[in-house]
Amino acid sequence: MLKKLWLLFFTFAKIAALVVGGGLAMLPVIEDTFVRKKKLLSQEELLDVVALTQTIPGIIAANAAVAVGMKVAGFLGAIAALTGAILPSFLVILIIAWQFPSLTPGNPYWLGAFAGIRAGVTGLIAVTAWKLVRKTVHNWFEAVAAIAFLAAALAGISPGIIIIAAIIIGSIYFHRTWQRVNTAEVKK
Amino acid sequence: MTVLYLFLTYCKFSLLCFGGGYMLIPLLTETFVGDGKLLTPERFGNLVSISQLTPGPVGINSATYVGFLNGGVAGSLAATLGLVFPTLFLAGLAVSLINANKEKPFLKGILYGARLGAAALVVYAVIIFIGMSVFTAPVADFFRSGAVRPELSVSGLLIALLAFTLTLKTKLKTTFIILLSGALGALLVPLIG
Repeated sequence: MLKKLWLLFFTFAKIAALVVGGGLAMLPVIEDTFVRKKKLLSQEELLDVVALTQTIPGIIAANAAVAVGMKVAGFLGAIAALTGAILPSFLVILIIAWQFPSLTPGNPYWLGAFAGIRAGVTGLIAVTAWKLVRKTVHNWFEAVAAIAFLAAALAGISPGIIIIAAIIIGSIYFHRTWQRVNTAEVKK
Repeated sequence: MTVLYLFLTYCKFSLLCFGGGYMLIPLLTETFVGDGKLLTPERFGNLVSISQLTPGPVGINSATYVGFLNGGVAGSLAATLGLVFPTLFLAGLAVSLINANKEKPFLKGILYGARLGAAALVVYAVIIFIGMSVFTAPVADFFRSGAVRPELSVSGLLIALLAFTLTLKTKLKTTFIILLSGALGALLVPLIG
């Protein structure tokens, strides 16, 4: 248990300290640690976390930390992950606000490193997206629905609305298919 | 007094914030910037640029910064905890409801749909990230308004392709790939753009 709490704290602290870009940029590290290496989450559960972070109010990093922590180790896990997610930024900004209240960073190497990390995260998240899509899309309905949701996001519709629409459309399709399978079994 | 005000104000921000920290910026301006309020416009500008140039969520950065300037370490703690306090209960409750009803058909249907939507949003995130790194301006903005014509960033393209290939073909840790990308960026971006 302690090991899991430490893993949650340490992974989310690492994400907060390293990953530039915000929001879903944290997904590749979560996938690498909790799905691929430690097998504490499935890819489906990772998608549940994504859906939750987009529909529940609050900043994405905190939502993701609480959801992953809760799934892996319950309420204590949520607190461990959340503490990890806020501690690095808290300390860094505290030092900046205290020592350099009028700082405007403009060092070209620093800017370059940040641009580099954003580019690296682009490559990483593309791999994660590919894995998750392969896991989710198996038939024509799913392919058409996923493309429609993507188009809606590109058109500027907010992610929360898209998840809610996906839940409604998905539930209808799921229950119709489920009923058909059930009636077929009863007839047999 | 200030400490309690900061805590409650950030609790409110957390409940009003859907889909990411940048949603907070208009709320912050409205609440904190102006005559007789907590932040001057210069300090607010500083906060936004510091947030863009340090890792970590912009929401947390703003809470720590505004809190410290107005209530010292206690203020920054109050604001930061305020921002995540509602999340702990809302997201925690949502996950325990899901865990308790996993086998119920109505929840299976809900999760089936939510996962399809979430997969589409991850692909959307890839497109947004390409616009922030491989090009010098967001590609989506260009399609929507045609305002800024994005230019290709050569080093961004190289680093993104390298990270993609390394993740697929090797067993390197993602954190190592992120650090490598940062080092390459510090070398390449000032040189070739």
